[in-house]
Amino acid sequence: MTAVTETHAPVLTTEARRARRVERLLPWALMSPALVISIIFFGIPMLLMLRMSFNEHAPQRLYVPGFTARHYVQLLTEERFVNAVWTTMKLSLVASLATLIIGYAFAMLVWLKPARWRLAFIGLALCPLLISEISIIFGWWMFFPKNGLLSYALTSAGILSDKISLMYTEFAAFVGLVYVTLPFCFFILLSILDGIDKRLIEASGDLGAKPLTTFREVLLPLTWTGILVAFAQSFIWAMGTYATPSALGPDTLWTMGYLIQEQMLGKSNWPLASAFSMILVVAVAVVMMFTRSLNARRTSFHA
Amino acid sequence: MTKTKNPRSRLSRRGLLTGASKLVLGAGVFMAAPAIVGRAPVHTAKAAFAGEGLIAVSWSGNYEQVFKSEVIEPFNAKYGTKAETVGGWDQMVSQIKAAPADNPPFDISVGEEYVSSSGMAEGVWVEQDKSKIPNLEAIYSWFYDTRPAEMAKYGIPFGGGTTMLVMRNSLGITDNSWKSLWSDKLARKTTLDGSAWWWSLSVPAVMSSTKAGLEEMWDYPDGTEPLFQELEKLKVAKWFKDGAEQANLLNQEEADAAMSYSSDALTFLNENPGVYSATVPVEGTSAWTDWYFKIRGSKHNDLSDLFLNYLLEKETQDRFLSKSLIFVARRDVTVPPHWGDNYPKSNDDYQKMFQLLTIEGWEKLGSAWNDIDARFKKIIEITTAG
Repeated sequence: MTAVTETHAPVLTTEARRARRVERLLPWALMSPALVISIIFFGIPMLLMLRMSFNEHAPQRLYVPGFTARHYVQLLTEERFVNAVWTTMKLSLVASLATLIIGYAFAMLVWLKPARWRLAFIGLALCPLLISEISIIFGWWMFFPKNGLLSYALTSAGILSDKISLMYTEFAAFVGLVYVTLPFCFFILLSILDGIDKRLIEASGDLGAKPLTTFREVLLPLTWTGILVAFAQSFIWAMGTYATPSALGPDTLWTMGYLIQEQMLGKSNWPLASAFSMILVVAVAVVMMFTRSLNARRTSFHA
Repeated sequence: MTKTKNPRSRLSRRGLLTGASKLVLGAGVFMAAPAIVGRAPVHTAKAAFAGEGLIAVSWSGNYEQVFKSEVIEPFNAKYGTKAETVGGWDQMVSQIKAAPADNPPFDISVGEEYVSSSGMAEGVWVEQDKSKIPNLEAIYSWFYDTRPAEMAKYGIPFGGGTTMLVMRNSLGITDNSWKSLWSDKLARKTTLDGSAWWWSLSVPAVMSSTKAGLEEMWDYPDGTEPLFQELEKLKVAKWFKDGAEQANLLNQEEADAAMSYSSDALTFLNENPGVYSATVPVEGTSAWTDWYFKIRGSKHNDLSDLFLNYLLEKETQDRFLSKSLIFVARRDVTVPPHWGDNYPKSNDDYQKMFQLLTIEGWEKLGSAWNDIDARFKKIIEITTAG
């Protein structure tokens, strides 16, 4: 005869049930203000844009209500649009990586320097955020051309014998993008570094680690999350910014942002512009998910 | 006999004050009445519209500056209004369409042929009651002759502009021809519009004598392909995307010659006296007309009528003409010295001098839009150095 053990589910009292319900609902209640804002300002416009991307288009009209996937097919098959996707991805990736390296070095400098230097450096990093993108572009227009400041400085210093123009090159677009995205990257990394106890660095050195080893074994793991967030932030900005690469880069640098504004305003084709915007959003989302997965893996490994 | 008091004969202080306030109120209503019941006559407009706001979109860039100083500010000074202008280019119809129908972002908007027809197709313009614009009697009929009757119901013509050839004087190139842009002397030293490519495409169309006007442009691909091939022979320093970039290219000596626009040219020349010349080449020029439209949903309908009529007053047109290279709609304007003897003096002159990018032309261009756009991007790839 087999003994049967009966297990009874614990009977919950009314108070316990209420406590469990509160426990379940509390995170939602706390999240609700942010959730409402996200739905109103991001979710609904995104859905409207998605719907717009399937509308028809006729000459002289902005859009004609209907349902077609033609614009997505056009974007994925026409050379100029496919090229724009790759151009934008490449430029954004390179600019974001450069921003990350410069931003990290700058944030470390500020973190390690005495406090009296800190305010001056932070003020310096804030400068690009206080000036409109158009004004920054005009500044580069005075800097890069043959008769610009850079050329003048190089020839005056005897480094070059002839005037040089870096204007309307991919390099100029790259520099412009890095300049725009750098402050965001810098402040994210600085906030992460500020949370690290500097004595860890000293301890690592005391234990015989060389600076590079300390950086690899101590600082890098501690700032990994910040690096991923800073990279993602720079990448999103670089993907979406259209005025800077368009004004500083060569004629043939057609980015997604530029073609979206061209379709939206110049060509009055809202559905195509919306479809292109959706592709941009998806591309950014994929990169975000990728960086997030790296972070999750790292976190679980360390746990 | 009891003496009874006649109440009407009693004159108290309270009665006097009440009567006086009613009188003032009545006078106020009377003064404001024209604004309430319809357009205010000019002599009462200042009282009727004083303090009222109005937002008019003009072309951005130098045109906007001239529009502000020569139209908006004198209008406000005359009528005590709070009119203002904002610069626009090709986004006005999109902005109006995106806003609530009863609360548009502007009250009046400028539009050339493309914006005009796009706005009409989207139903954002209000049909114009011409009886409220008496100055329309003083304008050249060419403006109405060159657009379909259905379209002419909307807006009022103010003037128009042309493409122009801007050249650095120090080069000593004096043959006033579009062909200069192809000359070896200007190789990698020219700039044309790479954004509004239809104006660049109009240059070889103006030079071509195969068909009248800009007819080749409307015939894709048979008519347009020879034009594309002509553009492919250019050696461009950089295709500009807007007026600011064009000015920068010239000022930084990245380019020495440009296909420019009359709406920008005079201010640009005045800011760089003696450095550049801006001319209409001997082959002629492509052109557009500037119309101003009332926008549906605007709360300032009567003030808009007053403003549109003001746009066509002789003084307004004279002032604008003296500060820009655009042509205006009135017949009796005082032609400023910078036009010389070249200003059109009749409907025939307008017809001969300006090869208009017509609304019918736009309709044909629109049907092949994406193909032409893709083809033009190939041309940019082939011809650019920047």
